[in-house]
Amino acid sequence: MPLLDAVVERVTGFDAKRLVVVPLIVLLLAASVLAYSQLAFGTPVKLGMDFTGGTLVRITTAESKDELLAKFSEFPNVIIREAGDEKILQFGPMSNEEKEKLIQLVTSYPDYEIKDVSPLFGKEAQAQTVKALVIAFLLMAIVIFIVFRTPVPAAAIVFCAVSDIIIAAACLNLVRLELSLGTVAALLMLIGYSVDSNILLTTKLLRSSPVTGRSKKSGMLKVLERLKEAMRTGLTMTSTTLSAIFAMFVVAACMSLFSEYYAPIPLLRDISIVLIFGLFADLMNTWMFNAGVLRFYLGERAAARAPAERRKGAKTARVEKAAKPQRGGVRRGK
Amino acid sequence: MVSERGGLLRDVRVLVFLVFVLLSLFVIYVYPPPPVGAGTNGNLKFGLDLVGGSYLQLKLEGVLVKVEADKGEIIKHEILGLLRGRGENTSVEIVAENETAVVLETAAILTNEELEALNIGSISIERLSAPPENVTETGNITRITITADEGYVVTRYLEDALGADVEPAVYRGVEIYEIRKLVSKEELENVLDAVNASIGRDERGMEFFVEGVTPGTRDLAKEIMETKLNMLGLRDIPIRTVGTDIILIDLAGVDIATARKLIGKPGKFEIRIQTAGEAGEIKKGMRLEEIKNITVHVLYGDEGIASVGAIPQQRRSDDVERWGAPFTLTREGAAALQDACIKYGAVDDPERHELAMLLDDVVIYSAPLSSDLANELKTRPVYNLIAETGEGEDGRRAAKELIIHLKAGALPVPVEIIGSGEVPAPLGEKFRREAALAAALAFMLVALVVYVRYRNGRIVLPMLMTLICEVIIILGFAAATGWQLDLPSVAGIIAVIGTGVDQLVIITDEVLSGAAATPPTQKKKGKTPVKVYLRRVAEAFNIIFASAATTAVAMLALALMALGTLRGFAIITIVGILIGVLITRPAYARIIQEIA
Repeated sequence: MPLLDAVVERVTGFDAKRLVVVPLIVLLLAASVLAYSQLAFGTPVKLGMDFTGGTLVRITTAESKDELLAKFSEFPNVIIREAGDEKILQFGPMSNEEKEKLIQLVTSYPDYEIKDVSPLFGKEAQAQTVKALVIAFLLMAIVIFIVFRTPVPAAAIVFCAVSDIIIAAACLNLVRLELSLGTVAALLMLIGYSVDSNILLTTKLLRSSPVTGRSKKSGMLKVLERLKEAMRTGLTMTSTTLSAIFAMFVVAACMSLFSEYYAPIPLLRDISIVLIFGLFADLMNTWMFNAGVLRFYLGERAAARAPAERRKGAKTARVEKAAKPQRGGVRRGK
Repeated sequence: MVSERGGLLRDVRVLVFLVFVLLSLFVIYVYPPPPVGAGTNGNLKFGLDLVGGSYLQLKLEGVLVKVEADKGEIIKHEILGLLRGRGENTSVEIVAENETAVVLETAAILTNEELEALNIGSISIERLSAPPENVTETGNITRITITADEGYVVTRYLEDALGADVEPAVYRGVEIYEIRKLVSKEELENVLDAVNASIGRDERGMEFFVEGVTPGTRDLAKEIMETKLNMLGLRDIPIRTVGTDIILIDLAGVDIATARKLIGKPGKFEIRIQTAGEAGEIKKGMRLEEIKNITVHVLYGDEGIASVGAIPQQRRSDDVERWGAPFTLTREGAAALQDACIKYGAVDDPERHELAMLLDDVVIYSAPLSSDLANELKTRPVYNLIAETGEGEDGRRAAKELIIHLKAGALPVPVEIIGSGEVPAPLGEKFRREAALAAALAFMLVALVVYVRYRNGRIVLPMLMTLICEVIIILGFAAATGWQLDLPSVAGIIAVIGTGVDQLVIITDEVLSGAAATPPTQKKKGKTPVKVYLRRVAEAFNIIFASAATTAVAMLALALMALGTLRGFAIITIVGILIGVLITRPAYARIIQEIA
């Protein structure tokens, strides 16, 4: 696949240090978006109804926004969004009596959906979300450290996962999407997804068999070779995942715009949006940041070993040559 | 592919894989026989958001607290309060106290009735001549001996002071009190301060004050709700509990207004007496309209019934155990019952004048007066009654149910609806269609990407077949466990399609590059291609195991979130990962080795 190879050659062609800088800058920008939100609104990501409490109503009606506003004016904090005949009405927390009244009014429409969350539930959900994120993270970090047992590569993977989540959360803010239970699930899923390609990369580069050793230069060439191989696999992986998630997004968010036969599914939409952002962030973090760090790390290690290995110079050259056909091997198939 | 290589079918990994696929199809479509009209859905069950209906998320309100108190102090406080109520300021001293009793002395004169009204234990009073130096107006000292254990005294005190039901209980091995109402810590501390008591500490030195209820109370609340739902003809409604204080109810096919009415509002309980017709004519389950002409109203539950026993009562007569639901009438209730029984002749002919009990205008119990009760009613009102329900285990169960009805379905603790919602059936249908579409589209896009990458049907086809089989096994798991597939589960399935193919890509690349990279020089050294494959595949599996483990732990955190809304996503993802790592990947690795 020429495109894939071109991308791989391009990215691996950069200097390791320069590769690492870009994701760091993006991370910094994302972190400042979250910090701004924290200062301006009190939370790093705008909390949706699942966390603040409130009532969400979706109805299909030909009534205009103003007509609806007048009709529902007695309920607190009405916000109305519309997409064609489909109207989404959001209300702030209200008393039980008001709620019964609202339900009566809403159920008089032929086509409706209601979701009601009490502030109490929201508070509980907030606490549990924080807890779940922390637990998931710790467990993930433990698994990674157990698998790799070397501090630098393991820390780089954990760092990538943190960065993916921060960038995805910042993107949520940028597209004005609120944090819902769906987005939380997606952020947790992101921990799993983002670690996938990093594990692939790290395993391949650290592979103990014939690589390590030799002169620094040839060692690094081998590392680059491995990196390219990993990158071909990794990019394929992420594209398949992205395409599955993209399908979810198209169906959950877009289909309803074209046909009344479909209705938007906010939960699936939220999950897919977060995963799409997160997976793009992950592409950058894995193949620029983590790859850069590993190249640097392996270069250092190779340099440290180099003097002792030089004696085997002749043999190294032969293996290096032999390894050449590997470059296009994947394309050939059978 | 398999036909070419008969050896594949003898491989245990491939066999296991095939067996699981067939087994899954079997549980989905063959056994247990799917419901009629299920079509392609077979035995799969769908969640509320895919079939339509409403859901309620309820929080049981209560407080569990450990109390360090001295029952003497509480009793003294109560007696002082009683005296202050009479306008007296006499002091009360505790003179002796042990496990079972407290002895107090006071110069005031107190009667048995006054003390019994405090309801703090059994009482005996002695009047003593005071020693000369302590002469009071009356010249006497009242010595009060109250027999009560601490649990009882503290319970009574908290009930009065907080205006809530209080039950002593054991929670996590600690003796505590369950306050069946939400009270703040400050409020409780004020109440305890008044009697020199305090909130007790657990073994770690933390104050034992937990918002929630005991598992027993939670189960009772769940049982009551189940009974209520059964009354409405809504059987098999799944009621789930999360933690000790959250109850989740999914009501398929019920609209939200009806669902919300089910909770909180206790029903209308009524006792009527039969005035005409034959014995046994009134049957359980009849509606008020059907019996209106042959019965008249006696009393309503909220004014006529003072209290209902907590557990069924047992009576032995003629060597059979008979069970019944005990309840106590109020003064008015007892008078109304006596009047009605005399007026309509039930005391003389009980058989043809049954007492019928109705909850929300439906007969839930009807039986004649027993002969001794009929006789007693001729002369005086009777307060304590037992509605007998029958013999053996059936009788006990019926009595338990009747107790719930007598309480008019009132829950043991206040309930707050913390979340509710409705997806009407047509919308659920739309969602179901879209969920299927999303999964199909995801699969097609994945297939496209994989094809563009490998451009080789011999690789792509097995890959996609494996993926399909993986989804089939997940669905088989769902059917076998009765898991309800909801929207989060569908998201989980799509996520599994995404990750599943990732791992297949890793294996494929390893095997292919292994095949291509085996240089002739290595072959000479005895490294056969098979060995290289194995090493490569082993490495692929290292990567897969590590990434599967991280995804699984992240999803575990989500599955354990108590509110459980997204548990479907987490569970399906974890199950999908396990199936992938244990069943489908090994088989695929074997198949692709054969092909490469």
